[in-house]
Amino acid sequence: MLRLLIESSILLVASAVATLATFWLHPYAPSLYVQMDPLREDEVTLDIIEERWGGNVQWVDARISEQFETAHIPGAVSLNEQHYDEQLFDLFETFQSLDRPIVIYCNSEACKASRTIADKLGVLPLEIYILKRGWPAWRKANSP
Amino acid sequence: MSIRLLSTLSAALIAVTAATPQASAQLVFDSTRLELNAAAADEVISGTFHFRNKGFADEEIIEVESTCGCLSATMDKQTYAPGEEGRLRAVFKLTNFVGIHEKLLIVRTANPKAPPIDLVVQINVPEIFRSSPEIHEWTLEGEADPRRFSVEILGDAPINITDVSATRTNVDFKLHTLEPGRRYEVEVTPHDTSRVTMGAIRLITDSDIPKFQRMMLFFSISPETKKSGGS
Repeated sequence: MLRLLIESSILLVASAVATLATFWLHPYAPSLYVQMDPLREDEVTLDIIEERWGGNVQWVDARISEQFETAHIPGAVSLNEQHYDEQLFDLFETFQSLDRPIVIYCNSEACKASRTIADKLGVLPLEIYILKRGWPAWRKANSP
Repeated sequence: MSIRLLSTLSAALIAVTAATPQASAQLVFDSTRLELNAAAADEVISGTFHFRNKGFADEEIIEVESTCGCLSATMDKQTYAPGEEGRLRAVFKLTNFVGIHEKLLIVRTANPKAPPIDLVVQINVPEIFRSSPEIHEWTLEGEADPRRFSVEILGDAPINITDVSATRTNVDFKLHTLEPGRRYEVEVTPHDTSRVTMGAIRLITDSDIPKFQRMMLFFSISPETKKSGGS
């Protein structure tokens, strides 16, 4: 019985060592916890928008037009990579008189459209931010 | 003793094998980068990625995520047998894009241990209309000197500027034609610099290509200038 116990323990320890070694060394081993990215300087959350500006911002939707037409944050305007120049041509008179910050959102964390639109608008003297986690964050906060 | 040693080593080998990615299915792309050269008037351009399942089990593609609504992908099928070749067609809607742009297609398979595969699609769209600088900026309470934008038409066909207007009434503007259809200058002079202003000069052209029919040149009067805006 004692021998069996010892042999089982040896097998268990050997397996554990091999597994741990693989976890540490393998390039595709998953992380043990979800890491939260810190906010970049021009990123905001819904809480920050409420706290800093009382929710009074100009929303800019950087998603494709079909997604904007399906649903968007109330008051948002559509300004996307695909139609940027023609949309800005029509929106400019709104932006040139803006007295509140612009907050841009797109489809998800992987979507880079918000950053692209922010960079393009950055040539203008506007106060521009990006909503962290974009449209899904707003939907989650505003779902019934 | 040797049997015990053998069983211990076997158990360790099983543990290592179980922890490594499943090597039985594996999609390998000929290239994970596609470069597409478009003409200025093109609305859509497409290209194809080729791949093969070099593993020993069927591989199912469950999702192809695009980082841009401008880029979509279609495949000839979803599941590929060992040794089977496949094609992934990338379709790019050009709309207003000009210059060099890179977007990603992220391919995910049903194999939970296989990492996503990033496919890069680069499009090159020739620049037809070039203006500089990006913006003219005057300093608040500074000199209200005239500044000029230069406009160049780079494509094969000339483009004429047919109308010029401003979104603000506190500036004067004048179009100078240096070479009809090819080179222009737009001179802008604020009446004064006493208040913060942002505005644009709108240009209407006779281009056949919709994305070059309406253009804007930006200006501002700001407490601090971001860029140098000399004439």
